[in-house]
Amino acid sequence: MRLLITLITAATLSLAPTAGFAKDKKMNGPEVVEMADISVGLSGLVCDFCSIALNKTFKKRDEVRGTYVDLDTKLLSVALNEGETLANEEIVKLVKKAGYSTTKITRKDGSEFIPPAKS
Amino acid sequence: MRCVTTLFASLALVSGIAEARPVSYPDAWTVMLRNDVYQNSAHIHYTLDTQHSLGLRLRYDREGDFVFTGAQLNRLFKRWNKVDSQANLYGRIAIGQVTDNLDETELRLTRGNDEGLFLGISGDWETRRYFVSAAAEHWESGRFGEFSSFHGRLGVAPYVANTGALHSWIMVEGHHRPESNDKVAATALLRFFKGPSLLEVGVDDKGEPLLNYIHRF
Repeated sequence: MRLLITLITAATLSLAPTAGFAKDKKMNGPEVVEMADISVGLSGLVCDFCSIALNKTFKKRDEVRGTYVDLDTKLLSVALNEGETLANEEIVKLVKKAGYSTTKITRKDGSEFIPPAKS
Repeated sequence: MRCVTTLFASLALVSGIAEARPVSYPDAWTVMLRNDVYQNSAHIHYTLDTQHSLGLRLRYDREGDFVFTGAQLNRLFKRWNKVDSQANLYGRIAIGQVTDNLDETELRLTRGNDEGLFLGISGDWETRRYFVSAAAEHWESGRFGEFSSFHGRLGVAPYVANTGALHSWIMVEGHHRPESNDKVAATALLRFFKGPSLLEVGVDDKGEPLLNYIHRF
């Protein structure tokens, strides 16, 4: 049993240097709303832990310059690096990975995408 | 005992439990500390994917005067995301070693060690204004005995705060522990929540304090 606990401890600690402790140099303030390329409507958003999960999940992507989650409007604003894009399907996947659901994706050009109900 | 106390104090300094939400987002680390009339407990876990987290669990049983040290796996069975609410159903299992607390006068472990098993299931539903949760737990602690525990919570936020602001909650928690000397207890508590940190302070109906802390990295 002691060996098992030791092994699991070692395995758990070995995961430590991953993104969880990485320095976050991307933008994450309300100013992102003004410059956002994509606005993502969300469901399941009830607390600040939710916003942190979404910010961290999106900011791991190289295409993303900054993100901001507004609990009042239930919107995730995503600013992209110049020349980058992020497909609707990928956005839906990232939101799901963070633990939430996408209700609508609106882009700067006014185009909208409403994912199927199960996404 | 001093060693256990030091360990819990150290964990509290680096960050601090409420056992709600034992699975975070992938690659996140979470420290959860819970201190109440029944226990001093620390759980540090790493979220493997959207449904599983794995970590270490340390728990000092204040009534039984023994320590559980083990590995704990948490699973999110189901999440319901609605426009204004979220609900979750979680399962937990921990296996490890139960160790007698050191007898400070005789400097020996009077009851020795044994293997331990913990099983738990919990559910919660919350909006930005209301919170409800319930949990059932069972501990098999070999020669140290076995016990079950049931608890539930109701909470209301006096104001609805936006991202990054201080979120405050007023909550009541009820406990039922059939094998305990004190089978039923109720605790009034305040929850403060800002960014990655959550702090709970409270007092139960016997005047015993509660101090819980969660931090996500």
